[in-house]
Amino acid sequence: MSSDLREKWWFALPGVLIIVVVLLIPIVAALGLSFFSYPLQRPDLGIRFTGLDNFSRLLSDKNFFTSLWRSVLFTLGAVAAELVLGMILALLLKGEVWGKTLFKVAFMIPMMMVPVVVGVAWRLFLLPDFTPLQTIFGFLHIPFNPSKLLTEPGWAMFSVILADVWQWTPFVMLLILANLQGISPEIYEAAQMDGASKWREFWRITLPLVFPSLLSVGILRAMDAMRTFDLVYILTSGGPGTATELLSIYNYKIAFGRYDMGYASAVSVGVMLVLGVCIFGLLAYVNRGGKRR
Amino acid sequence: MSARRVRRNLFKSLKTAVLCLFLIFFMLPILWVVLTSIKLPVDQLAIPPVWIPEHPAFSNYVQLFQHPDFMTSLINSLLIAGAATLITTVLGALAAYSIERFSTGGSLLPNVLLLTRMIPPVVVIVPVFLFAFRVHLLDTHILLILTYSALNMALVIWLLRAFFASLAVDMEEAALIDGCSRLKAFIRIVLPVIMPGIAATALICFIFCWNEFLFAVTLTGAHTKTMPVLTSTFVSQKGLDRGLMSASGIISSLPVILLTVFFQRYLVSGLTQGSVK
Repeated sequence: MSSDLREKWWFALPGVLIIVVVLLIPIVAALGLSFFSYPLQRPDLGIRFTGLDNFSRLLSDKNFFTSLWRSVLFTLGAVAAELVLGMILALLLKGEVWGKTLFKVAFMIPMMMVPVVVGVAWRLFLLPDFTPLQTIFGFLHIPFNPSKLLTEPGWAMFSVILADVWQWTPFVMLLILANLQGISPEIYEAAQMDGASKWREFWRITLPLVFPSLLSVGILRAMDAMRTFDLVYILTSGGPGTATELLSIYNYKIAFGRYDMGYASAVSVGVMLVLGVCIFGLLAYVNRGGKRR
Repeated sequence: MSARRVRRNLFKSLKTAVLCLFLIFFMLPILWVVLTSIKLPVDQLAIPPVWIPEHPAFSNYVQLFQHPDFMTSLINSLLIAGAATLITTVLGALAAYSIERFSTGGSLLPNVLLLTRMIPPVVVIVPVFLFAFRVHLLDTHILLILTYSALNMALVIWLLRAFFASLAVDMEEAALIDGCSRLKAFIRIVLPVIMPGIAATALICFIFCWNEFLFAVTLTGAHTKTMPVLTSTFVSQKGLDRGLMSASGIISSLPVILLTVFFQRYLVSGLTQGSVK
């Protein structure tokens, strides 16, 4: 038995070791670095222990809190839209439609695309000097000038949310669809016998049954949206001004724009704290609701 | 009877029409990039716009293929994503088997693993960069391969756990009684059965590695640039070259799109298994 015990650890060890070395040790290192001043572009200043200086700087850093707010806004907007649209698409694809496989495959393409290329595609599509939307909106007589979409702060935030929704709605759709297809048709037959309307069927049967996976997809997407980097970095690089400078982009700019490694680590610790509180809050909420596999 | 059938067909058409609107939404930006990639510079900025160029030009692609960094970036991407996928799948399969069969590390280990998926990559990158800078590992393939393996390990382990869980223990035990070692039983008995799951997982892992940008742009240099990094350089250049930018975008997403179309079924089962459970 004891040899078996040792064996099972030999199986698990290499994989776990890679995670520990490349991910967990750096996190501890980031914690440590946050107590130091470490300006990489000024090697003459060296690495100095500065105690809690970085953190007091963080607490009075307005840019940190505004970028945090932007990330929250981005996450809420994108995830809400993705859940609603993903649900609609899944319901449509579950029913009888023509060309189901074609739709399914075509809808999957955005989520598989390289995020950088998604950024490039939307950038090309929305570039203010000419966006093809101008022709389309003109044709449909929609009184909106789409050249604002990347140049005005509020609209730029809308655009990055739109691009994220474009890329990740298919993912939500896929997971919900898998769940919908798992619901036994007998339940619907029984409801139809009782004369329930389609609308009632949705609210009373479908929604409660997919709610757990809707919740877990939502959490999954929210965690990813809070970390979004490449798509937004390529699409707007945080601009115009700092209108779309999300937390991850702010953190990145301090590290690799200013090479202020100590403060960048403090910002990272701040990010981890915020995310940690959010994640544990969410998980506690979900667990309290019971029914979690 | 037939009135009911007409109504049903009408409803079906209506739903298909709504799906078509979504199809336009999902395809339009891609279509625009494809169109831009075959336009000459004159047509790219023409007002009123040229949607479909009269003379489709492939000069953007020719220019891209002749770009000094193109071949290296493509090979780097294949090499790094391939090697990382191989390492992650092999080590991940062993770990997942151990965790699922013997509940190695109790409930703590899988949850800690999952936690590593939630860490923002920006947090990890500063120490990794500084370490690599100190030991002169920046701009090496091995650095990115190791990082990608670690980033995807938890996902691969969780995906494969679901597949191992659906496997009966009997056959392995029979093999063990016949005198096989654990490893031999794993390779001979378990692996062949689980192969479709492993293939799906490897595919997902490869796509994630291929798509990664943040670590690639920070940790690479002239020798190890990957395709997403090359594509991004066309964006940041002062004279925005739309043709080159879109051609590069198309070429770098083509492998993944083709994989998606061909292996759609496996990808779906893998992704849903890993995410819902």
